[in-house]
Amino acid sequence: MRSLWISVILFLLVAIVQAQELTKRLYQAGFENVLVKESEDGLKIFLEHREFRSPFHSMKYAGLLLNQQFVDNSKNIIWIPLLHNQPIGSFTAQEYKFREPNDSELQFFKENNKPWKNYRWNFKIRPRIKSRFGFYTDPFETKLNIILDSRVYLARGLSMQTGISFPITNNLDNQDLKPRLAPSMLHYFAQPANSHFLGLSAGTFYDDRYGVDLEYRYDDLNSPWSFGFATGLTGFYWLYAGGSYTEPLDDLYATADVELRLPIENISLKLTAGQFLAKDKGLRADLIKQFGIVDVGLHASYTDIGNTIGFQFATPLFPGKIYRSRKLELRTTEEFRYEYSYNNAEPVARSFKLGMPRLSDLLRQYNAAYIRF
Amino acid sequence: MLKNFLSLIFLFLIFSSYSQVNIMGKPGYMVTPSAAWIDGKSLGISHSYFPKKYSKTILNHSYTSEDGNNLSFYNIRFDLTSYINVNLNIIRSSNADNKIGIGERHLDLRIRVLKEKKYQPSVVIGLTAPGSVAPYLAHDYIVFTKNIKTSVGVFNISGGYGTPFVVLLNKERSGQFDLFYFERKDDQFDNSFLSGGFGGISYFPMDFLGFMLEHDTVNVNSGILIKIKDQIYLQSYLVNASRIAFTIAMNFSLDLSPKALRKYEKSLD
Repeated sequence: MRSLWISVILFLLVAIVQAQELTKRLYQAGFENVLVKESEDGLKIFLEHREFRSPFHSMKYAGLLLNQQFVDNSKNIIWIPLLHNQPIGSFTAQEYKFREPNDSELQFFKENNKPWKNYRWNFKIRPRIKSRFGFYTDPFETKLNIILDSRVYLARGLSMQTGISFPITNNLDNQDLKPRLAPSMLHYFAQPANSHFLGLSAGTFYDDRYGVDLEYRYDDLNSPWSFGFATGLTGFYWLYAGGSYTEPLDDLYATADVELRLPIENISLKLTAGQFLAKDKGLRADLIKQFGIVDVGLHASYTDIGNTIGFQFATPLFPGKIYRSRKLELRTTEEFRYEYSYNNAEPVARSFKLGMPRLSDLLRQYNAAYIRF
Repeated sequence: MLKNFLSLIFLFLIFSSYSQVNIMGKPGYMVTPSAAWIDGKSLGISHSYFPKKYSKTILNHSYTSEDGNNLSFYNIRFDLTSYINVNLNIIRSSNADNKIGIGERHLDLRIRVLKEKKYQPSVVIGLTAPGSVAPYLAHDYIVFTKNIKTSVGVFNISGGYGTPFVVLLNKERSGQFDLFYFERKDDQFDNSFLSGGFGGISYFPMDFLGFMLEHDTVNVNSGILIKIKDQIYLQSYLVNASRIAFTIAMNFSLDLSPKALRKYEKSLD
């Protein structure tokens, strides 16, 4: 009896040491908030990797890292990728079968999640390019800023993003070239009920907007369909050396969209309708193709102001991680997005960028069919 | 049976290794497109130069100088699916800066309706999105291509037909669905870019070297192509046997993993 107890204790000790080693190994490779939960269905590992856009790459990388050291581990591994410090759901390591988070997982996460302690201080470098082509005397009008910013998790799902924007060149408008505060916002992301996602932002955004923005999305990640609505009340703002210029907070946008993942080669079709920026009412259709790490999209809009077509792409920027220590990380952005429309002078179906990816762009990466592809 | 199968695979390898593009960045010869497909490399970038003397056969606008302008093409291609690709083009004229800005921009699609088989040629339909400043550059066409392997190298033969009509956007839209209307290119714009029958042939005696000849509905052009490391293509042409044009093209794969993951996978091997 006694020897049984000893072996049980030994077994538990080994398990604890293993879990610690596993956590350490993943953390060193750039994963954050790695939490390990032993359960009947297997070893559940919560993790977040902010350098990767697609959770598939996080899970694949973690799987490879663990396989080498824990070869004899016959237990099932179940990944629970985190997005903005919130669990999205679980994927089996073998077949990437998706399941929504259950109560015991959420409870475990609630008890063990340490938004301050388990994350590095993560600094991100990204360019911000705004351009207007084709003006007669100066056909390549470009405004290029390099932004160095950081996102700090304050509480579960709640984060603050701020940084400095370094203007590099500007022949587009008359904003000066002095460094200034980069778009800074408070953001809350949550999954209040399974498949219901919420994103709430307040602060200053990209495209010279400030105000509040709310996004809701219903996205069963096992299904090709999803829909959502987004609304925001914003105004124009500009920072310049020694001051700021703001216009009133009076531009309301409200749009609803439906997205369908087509059964062909990772293409999604998205239809958005409603009132866009500048009180422009109309429709926009998006066709989005997801490659491994790059997304490319085409869009067409038909609104009160006019109609236009254009393209966009989103890609992580080379080289990714630049420096990483136990508490600090410097990297290039995991998502640089550029959008161009034929008539970029008229604001047809215009929206603004938050300074972080929109909900639909984030959740598209988590779709189970895409992960398994 | 197995031998047939292997030779088919071998043929396929040969087909897919020639990613020759035309001045507008689409698989083709110099001006004309072909029905070839660049498999596995979802992104293509290319730049071309086209000489003044014949530039009016391509771009003839009110701002074009009496004797034409040198043209620069900047092209991006990406594959939406394995049978649809999308092209974005910017075409700049040498005198353009102060008169027309950046130049012509447009977006077009290529759709592969038939894949090449042993006796069947590949067939591609090309469609241009309406709404650009130089609508006569639109090319709506159907083209077939067949590769023939002989003991002295591979011949690649294409023929096609481009419609003389162009779709124009109705700018004064009255809220109705009268968005488009049609015009003949030669009537409206005094231009017949890729309208009518066209054709081309290229010959690859070696893997890295090719020669081509085409009829672009107006001129007869010839060219030579050199491939560097399966990724970079250098192409030089003679337009109507009198002026030089050239293209440099590169093709990339987009189905990548992040660098950290790739590096780790490599270290495991």
